[in-house]
Amino acid sequence: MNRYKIVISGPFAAGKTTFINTVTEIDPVNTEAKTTHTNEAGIKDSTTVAMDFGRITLDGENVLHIFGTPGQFRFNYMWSILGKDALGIIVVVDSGEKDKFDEARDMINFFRVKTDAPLVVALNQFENKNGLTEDEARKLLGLPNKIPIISCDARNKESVKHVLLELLRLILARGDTY
Amino acid sequence: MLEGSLKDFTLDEVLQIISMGEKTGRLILKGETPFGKKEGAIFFERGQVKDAETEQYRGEPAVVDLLSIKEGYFKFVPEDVSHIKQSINKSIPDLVLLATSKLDEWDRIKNKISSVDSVFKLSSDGIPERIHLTPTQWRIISLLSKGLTIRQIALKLNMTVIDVSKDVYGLVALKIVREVGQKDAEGKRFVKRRGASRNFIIRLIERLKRV
Repeated sequence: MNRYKIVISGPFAAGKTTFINTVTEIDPVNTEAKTTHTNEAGIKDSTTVAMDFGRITLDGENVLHIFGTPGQFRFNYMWSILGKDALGIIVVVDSGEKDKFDEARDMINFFRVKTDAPLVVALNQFENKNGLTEDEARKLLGLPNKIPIISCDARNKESVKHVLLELLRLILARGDTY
Repeated sequence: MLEGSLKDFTLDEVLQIISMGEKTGRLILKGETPFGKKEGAIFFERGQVKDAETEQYRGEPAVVDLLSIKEGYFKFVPEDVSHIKQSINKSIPDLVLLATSKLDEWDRIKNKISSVDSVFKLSSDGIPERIHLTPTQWRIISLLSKGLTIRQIALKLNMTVIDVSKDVYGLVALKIVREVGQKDAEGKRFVKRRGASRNFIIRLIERLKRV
């Protein structure tokens, strides 16, 4: 069995777990724990502490695993472990949380330094939020043009598929395959 | 604030994160070197190294001293460094290369290179503008782009594989080249490739469209 992997990362509460749950063909495996930091507990009750896991099976021999990382920098050892040998990286950023963009930029740079994998940014547009546009987000993240930034809704299957397809097309275009 | 163990990051990776993020502040480093315990700080302004200090040195020697830390702890504290006098004019890539040139541990090289039979290709990112490569490094880039392995290049340039590996390590750390696979010891046949097959990705795209 050939197992390949794509990693979904991004700051705390950006929508990574939702992104995976939306597209996985199996019941997602989540490693959530109650948030204890006071500034995080006000945003959501639980947070990913090790990884999320989803799967898309191609055939009896080939399967794609989708791993989600914890969002907080203090769990960066998991980013290294999960990022190793990944086909590609998707960094999910909440378009309405401007104060998380500095954190997202550090995360993007972490994966650019640590891995050779192609990377795309998924700009999660939640409802009822005055979110940033792709151009505004690119500027705020200091993102070079070669890194795609794609607006999406992590709860919408077609939207999540669109981001994954863009990443796969980028992998093909970069010539990383054989 | 960036903070962590040098087990999880190598020092040149930390420098690159600060550089790419154009951070201003103080990188505190503490840890073990082959020459004993070292502690000090590197000062950054908009992602560029401005100054550094250890107990013994100030400026470039201090950076070199701190870059020899193999195990330890780092902490980046964002702060105003306008009062710090500029004593270092080398770019981060040059400092990474300087550190690389001081490397003699194959273990560290193996962080970036799987084998002396590895094959590399030029990164799509291209070569950074602010960088000074030696004539040897340019020759190595040229030979790597023709598909030669480290072992083959060493033979061709009459260098040791360790010396070629050190230069390739620096080029990989700077994202100028990246490893795409390995050849067998005779340098003829690919015995391993990284990543997935093109066919797999194309079939995966079709599969995903049907999800």
